[in-house]
Amino acid sequence: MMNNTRFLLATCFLLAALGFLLPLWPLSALGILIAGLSGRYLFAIAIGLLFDIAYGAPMGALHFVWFPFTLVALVAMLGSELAKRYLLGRTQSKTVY
Amino acid sequence: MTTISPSRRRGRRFGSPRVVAFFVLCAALFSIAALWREQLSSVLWSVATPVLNTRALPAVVFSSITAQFASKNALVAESNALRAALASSSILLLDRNLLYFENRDLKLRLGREANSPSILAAVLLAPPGVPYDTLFIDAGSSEGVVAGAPVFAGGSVIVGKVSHVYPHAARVVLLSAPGESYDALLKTQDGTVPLTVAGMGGGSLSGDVPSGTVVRVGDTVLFPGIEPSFAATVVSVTPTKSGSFLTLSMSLPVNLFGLQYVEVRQQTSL
Repeated sequence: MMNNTRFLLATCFLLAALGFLLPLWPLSALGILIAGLSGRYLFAIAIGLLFDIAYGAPMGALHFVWFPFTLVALVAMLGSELAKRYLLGRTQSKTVY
Repeated sequence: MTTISPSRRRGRRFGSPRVVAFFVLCAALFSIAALWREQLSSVLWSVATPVLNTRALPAVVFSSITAQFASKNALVAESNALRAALASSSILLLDRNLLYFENRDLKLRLGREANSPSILAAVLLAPPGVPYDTLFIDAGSSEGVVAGAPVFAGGSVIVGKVSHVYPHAARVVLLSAPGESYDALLKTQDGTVPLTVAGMGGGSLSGDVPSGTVVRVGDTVLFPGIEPSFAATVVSVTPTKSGSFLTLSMSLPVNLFGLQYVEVRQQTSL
């Protein structure tokens, strides 16, 4: 594991844990979002599931979402993939058609 | 082999073992979480409860070290303690009005004693620390808490009901949680009016009463029963567009952000 990855994972986990301990749940959501956007998908999803299990399902009109923190991770993952593909140009093919 | 076909290239990409493994792992994690959510939640809260209970310890230790050096800090702490005392006095004062009305009504009828035992619990997480207008308390099935039990902030001020019970923790859904609605009585100076209160989130509730009803800001909303349950206070009255009803905006009578202890009653009549 590279130092960069280690630092990023530690930061995201710290943010999420702080959000739980302070307590301030948007901080946890931010940790998950950063992990997802930076390409640590599995970590983001795992932390998202952990928070969803801890906090339970939402109340009211959003009760059907069921796993909102995991959804945040999935949205971040999708955003990261789309950004890589269409904005950052990292996956552009160098093959001449 | 190099290929120039976009479709083949895409196919190879999504079919790569790494991507497949990732999706399989995600699906497995999600299935485990969905199938055994309650059990996992129970395990998680068994671990989290002691951690959250010891959260205040460093603050206590640190404050005892610095107390002798900082008189200003002592004054701030005293001010905070007085504020907390004032808040609890406000609740007691609200209680007093409620008990006065209740007592007056009961004197007109035959008396009946109603006193159910309660379990004291500390609030581990409260809004805004936890989403969805819920509380997490440090009493669970081991302490005798059952799902559906009403939760009081102290005295007869009700704040919600227990929705999930873990061995040493429980999740409380506040009356103000979105999607929650209850049948209640609006206690005005002229009598009582039945109404349905609906949670709006963030400690606020709303309900409609017929337009002829005399409602004042500060009127109380109760849950019917021999044991009084003070649920909300009217904070504003707005006529609906058609004019047939009055929309009442209400708030929980306690400050959720400063709630430290609650009582879980063993009755299940909410």
